[in-house]
Order: sequence, then structure tokens, then C-alpha cells
Amino acid sequence: MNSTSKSKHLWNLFWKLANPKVFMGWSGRWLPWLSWLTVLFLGSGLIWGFFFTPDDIRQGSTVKIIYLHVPAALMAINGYLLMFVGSLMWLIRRQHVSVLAAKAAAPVGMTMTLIALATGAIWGQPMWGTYWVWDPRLTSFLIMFLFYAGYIALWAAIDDDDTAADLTSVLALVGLGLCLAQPLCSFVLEPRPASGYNGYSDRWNQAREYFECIFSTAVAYDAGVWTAFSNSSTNWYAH
Amino acid sequence: MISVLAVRSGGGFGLALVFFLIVVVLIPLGLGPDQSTLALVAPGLLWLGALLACLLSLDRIFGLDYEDGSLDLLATSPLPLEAVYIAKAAAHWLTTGLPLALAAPLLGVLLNLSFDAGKAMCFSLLLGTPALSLIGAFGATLTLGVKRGGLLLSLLVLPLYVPTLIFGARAVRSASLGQAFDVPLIIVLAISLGTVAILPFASGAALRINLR
Repeated sequence: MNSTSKSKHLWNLFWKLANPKVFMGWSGRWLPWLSWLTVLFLGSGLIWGFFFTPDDIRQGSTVKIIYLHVPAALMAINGYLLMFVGSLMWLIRRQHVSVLAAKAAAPVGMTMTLIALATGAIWGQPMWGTYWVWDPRLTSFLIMFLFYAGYIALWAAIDDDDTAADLTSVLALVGLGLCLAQPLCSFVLEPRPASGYNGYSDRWNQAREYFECIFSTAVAYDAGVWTAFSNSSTNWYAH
Repeated sequence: MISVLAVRSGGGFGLALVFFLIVVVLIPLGLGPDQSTLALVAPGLLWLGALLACLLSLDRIFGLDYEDGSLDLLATSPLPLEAVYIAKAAAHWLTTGLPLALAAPLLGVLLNLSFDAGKAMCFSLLLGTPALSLIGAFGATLTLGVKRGGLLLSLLVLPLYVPTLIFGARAVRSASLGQAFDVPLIIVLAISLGTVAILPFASGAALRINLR
């Protein structure tokens, strides 16, 4: 009984935040705190990951790029998810905050995709012996990057905000179907992973490293939310 | 009817085909005339050429009709905008995709493509170009109100073309190596069927948004 009333309360809060004015006041109050939290987390997370974790038996210190690479890749995909859900909610319920979230998620996702691609290439050079292979996973990330670019360009190209919101939402919905079905199809035809990438290192089983990875993921989320909030403060409701 | 109009609207019909021919002529000039190299790269480059030729005429699909107001007339007609989109995409396919698919095996001869691979080329383009036209026409509905939206249109459409290109070119590559090519061909067909099932609704919505 108590838990249902609590979840109902949260649900009400959720829809109350759908009011742009309420949301802007709320996010404005949180933004300074989040900024400091981001600086703190990003600094401590990266220093911890790069300097205070042991080397891998086989990969040496190269493995440490994982603390940047994996969270960035997760955030890249989740950015798309946020964009998709925000667009869907905008088309169904016409709440400006949701499409605003979708708009703010795109640059975050694109940047994270770029970071994931770059760190992956830097890791790949000593491990695979090459910066880049045309493996389905890598290819689909590159295509996701291009798709983010197209989404952002469409926002920028259309003058009327409501038209732009509608058209980009349609694009985000279609893109999920066509773009993200592609890696699935590729794996059907080419199920073997790229050479040299066979599962995880032994140390992955250790709880400590697990926690380290969760921490670095939380850092990426925090950075992402912060960027999205600061993007949304320069939004089109201001005028 | 719309197909006839698409042919007569000037430049669209022959242009894509001639562009395709020029691309095929330029490839050996850039790569060198070595026959084995040409046969190796021919499947992918022919698909790429067809894709670019398709891209060339996309902003024509709705552009003129939007400017002179015919699209508003079509929107007020009893035909739903989803059907208008399908008719437009079909017209685009009949004037670019179909001629490209029929011409590709002939142009493949210039690139030392074997007879079997040429056959696979024709099949894969026949099955794949409907998806190219449908996705392209969808992109055209999105960029309808954008002035000089050609570049934006390519940026939106090309990432969506990737799956079709991958499997279409793979079918031809498999055929040129003497392997079975039915699986990629079926996937290409699946992509075309998937787009014809989903995209009319997305494009109808985009047309309505642009016309309001």
C-alpha cells in the first residue's frame, strides 16, 4: 500500500516536470550542483581508472582505456534511446520537455559516439594491430555517429520550432528501425567477432573492477545529464 | 500517371542512367585497367554508383510539386498522403531504379564482371532499389521545406541506405566468387518489404507536418 502511493507520487512528479516552466526552474536549481558533481566525479573517476587500477596480465596498462571507452559507448547508445523515447512522447503527448530532452540528447550522444570510436581505435592499434577494422560493431557505431549528425542538421535546417520538433521526431523513430536493425543483420551473416577480441580478461570477474566500471559509467551518465541540462538552458522556450 | 509525369518533368529519367554510365567509365580510369582488380571491386562500385544515381534525383520527387502548390492539391484530394508517397516513390523507382537494374549487368561487362555476377547484380538491384526509392522519398518529405536541402537530404538518407548497400553488394560479391547468394538477396528483399510497410506512415506524417 505504502509503496504504491509512493510510486504514484513519483509518477505525479514526473508529469508535473512535463510542464516546461516547472522543469526549467527545477533543472536550473540542480545545474550548479550537477556541474560540481561532474567535475568531482570526472576527475576522481579518470584519475582512479588510469592511475590506481592494476595492469592486465595480457594487455598491460592499455586495458585502462576501458574506463573511458565502455561508459562512452554505453552513453552513446543510451543517448539514442533517450532521443527515441523523447521523440515518441512528443509525438503522442505533445509535451515540449520531452522533445527538448530528445534535442539535447543528440549532441551528447554524438560526442560520446566519437569518444567511443576514438578510444576504441587507440585501444585497437596495440591490441589488434590496426586502428580500424570494418567489423559490424564498429561500422554500426560509425553509422550511428552519421545519423546523430543528420538529426542535428535537420534540427538546425528548419526554422519553425514545432515543425522541426515533429520532423526530427519522425526521423528518430524511423532511424531506430533502419539503423539499429543493421548490426543485428550483420551478426546473422557474420557471427564471428573481430580477431583478437575473445571475451573479457580474467580480472573482469573481480568485484573491485566491477565497481570501478560502475563508477566510471555513473561518471559518464552524470556528465551526460549535465551537458543535456546545460544544453536545454539555451533552448527555444527562452524566446 | 505520376510516373509519366516524372518522366516528362525533365532531366530525371535519362540523367540518372547517364550519371551511372559516367561513374562506371571513371572507375577504370581511376583504378587502372587491370582486369582482375576491376572484377574484384565491380560489385561494390556498381552498387555504389546505382545508389548515388538514385540520390541525384531525390529532391525532384516532391520539390517541384511543393513549390507550385500541386502537393496541396494532392493533399486535398481523396487520396491519402500515404498513397501519394507510395505513388511518388514508385514513379521514382520506375524512372531510376528499374533502368539502373537493367543497365547494371551491361555496364558490368565494362568492369569485367562475370555473367553469373551480372545476373546477381540485376536481381539484387531489382530487389534493393525499391528500398532506395522509398527511403529516399521519405528523406525528401523530411527536407521539403528546407531551401537548398540537397546536401541535408544526402546526410539523412545515406546512413539509412547502408543496410541495403551492404547486403546488395554482398550478394553480387558472393555470386562473383561462385558462392550461394540467396541469403543476402532475401535480406535485401526483406529491407524493401519492411520499408514499404513502415515508411508510408512516417512519410505521410512528415508531408502533413510540412503542409500545415
